[in-house]
Amino acid sequence: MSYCVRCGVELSSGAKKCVLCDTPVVISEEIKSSVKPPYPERLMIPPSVRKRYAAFLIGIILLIPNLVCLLINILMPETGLWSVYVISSSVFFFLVAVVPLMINKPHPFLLLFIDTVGAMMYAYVFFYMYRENGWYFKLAFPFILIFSLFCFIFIAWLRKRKRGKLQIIIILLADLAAFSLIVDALVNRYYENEHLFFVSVIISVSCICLMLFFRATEKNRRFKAWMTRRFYF
Amino acid sequence: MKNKKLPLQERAWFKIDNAGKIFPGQNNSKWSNVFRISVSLKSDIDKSILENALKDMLPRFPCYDVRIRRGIFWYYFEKQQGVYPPISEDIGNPCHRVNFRENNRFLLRLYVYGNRLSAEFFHALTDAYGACVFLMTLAAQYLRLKGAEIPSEGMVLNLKQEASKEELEDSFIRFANSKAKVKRSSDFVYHAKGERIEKHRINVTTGYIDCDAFYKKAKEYNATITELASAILLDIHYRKQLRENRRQKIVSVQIPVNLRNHFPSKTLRNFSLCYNIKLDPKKGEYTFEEIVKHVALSLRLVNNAKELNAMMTKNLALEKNFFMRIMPLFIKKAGIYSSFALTGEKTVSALFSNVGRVSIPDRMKQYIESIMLMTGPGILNGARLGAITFENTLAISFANIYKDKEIEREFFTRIVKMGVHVKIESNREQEG
Repeated sequence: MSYCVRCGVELSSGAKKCVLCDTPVVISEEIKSSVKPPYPERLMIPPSVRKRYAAFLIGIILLIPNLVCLLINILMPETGLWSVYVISSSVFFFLVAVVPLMINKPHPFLLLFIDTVGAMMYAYVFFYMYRENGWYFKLAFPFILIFSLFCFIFIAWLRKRKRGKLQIIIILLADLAAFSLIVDALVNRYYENEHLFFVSVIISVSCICLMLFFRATEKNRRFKAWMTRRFYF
Repeated sequence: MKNKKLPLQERAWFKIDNAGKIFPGQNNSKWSNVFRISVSLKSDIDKSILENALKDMLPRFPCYDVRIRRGIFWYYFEKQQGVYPPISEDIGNPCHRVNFRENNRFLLRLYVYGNRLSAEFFHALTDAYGACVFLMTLAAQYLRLKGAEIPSEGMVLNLKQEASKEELEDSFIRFANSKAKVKRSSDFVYHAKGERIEKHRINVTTGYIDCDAFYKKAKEYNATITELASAILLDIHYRKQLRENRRQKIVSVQIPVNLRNHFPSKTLRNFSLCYNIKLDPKKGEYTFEEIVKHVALSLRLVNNAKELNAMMTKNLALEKNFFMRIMPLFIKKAGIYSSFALTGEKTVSALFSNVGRVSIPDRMKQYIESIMLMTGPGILNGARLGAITFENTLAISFANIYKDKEIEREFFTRIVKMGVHVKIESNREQEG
């Protein structure tokens, strides 16, 4: 029978330390090894959810309306090629939402690559139906590519080491500022506007102001504590 | 013959009781509402004899011999046929989540570790009282097969009798008939958070307390054991929050109450309700004596048949609501899931569930060393306590999902400082 000198509680025989305060207990190795611990070491870790099964179910559920649409469209060709939109939307949804469930421990870059290719193909289907002013190559393609590039940089930065909430907000704001400038330039060039940058300047200036504010908050621990208290909800 | 016309024990399926209906909706791959009750005998348990004892006694509990199934509108229980729950070697992470397809599809799990027999129940099946009756009857039958003469008294049911209609009924439907409308407040309260331990693991710390000495101490404060223990818990959370020097939120302790103490029910299914005792630090500073008084008065104010009936009726009204009934299960499940995620444990800082004294035949007591009750892990709460009394030992178990053990340490050392003997046992002992 042993007691913890700090807590005053009786400890189970064979305990190496007090479980409440970690104060070590001086007992012989013989007693330590002879006494059975209160709980076994064996753990029962439940298997993770069968994601592939869920993916299969979603796939089947998606397939049925698509087949029905395709069949109706084939039977009524005079209504146009409307089933292409339904099928392409379903394929895009499948790539974005279902494929991650099918891969065991998917790598974020792999998922980003699949999503980028999927988005490019999805936009191209629409371009194939409405070929006007080459909007796909001048607007949609670079837009998707740049968006993916920003996502890639953000994920790579996030994976490098554990980042604080404020750091993440600052980087997201920087991303938003840069992305809005590029998109604005692309759109204005496509429509042959006089100014290359317009709306994006307002967004970028706002983002930079917020970035400076968050950066100052991050540096000043007292101010950060005060903000946490004030804006606690 | 139609299922409804058959006596309850012969039905192929039956509805989940009012309190249990919420638990399958909350169940997910990471968390289930599971609790454990253990009995330690004075000699090691023979697994093969225990298996025979289980086969003898399981037909006496037709409401546990079930699997859960999805209907279009509700989950329901379906009778199992010719299978028994497996008895496994105990594990170091009790009350891990339930998968409806595992464990021969039973919602109760049985474990053996040396002289300890443990049963874990999914809360949709029953409450701690029902689980206690099941475990005591199983232990009694095991001892009988080992040669002991154990009569059927108290929580040990007579295996020669068939399960009665009262034992299988949903007592909420029978007794909820209040015309009063109660309002349930749901303030978001303080939580003593910390660094979480790994998923599917739990820290269990059990304190075996000298019950008579603790009861005497409670009497000095004009309180009961539940009131004093809840007050200590509330006081610890209240002072911890003060020390953290943050915006002060309400602290609250949830206390489940066994409705069988107020209504003449013999049901072995869920028949309990929870109420929250709250303390608002914004009202001023509280001494420990004031907190004990506050807990005692608040509890006594609600712990009566009329108040509980009104609470029961309110819960039942939701189930009886026409629109609720015709809503497909997947929508109900999503509703329950999101409502639990949004409010759920956010309205309670801690839980203290006290089953009270175990009533078993005198001749059985000599074979039993100790009994303990453990609540399942919380999602936010690090302090979920289960309490049960056997002879002169009150066993209080902490189920904690955080590495930090400040609440347990304070709780038990305060009891020690009151001059009451406490013996500690934990699965943390194996930690390096």
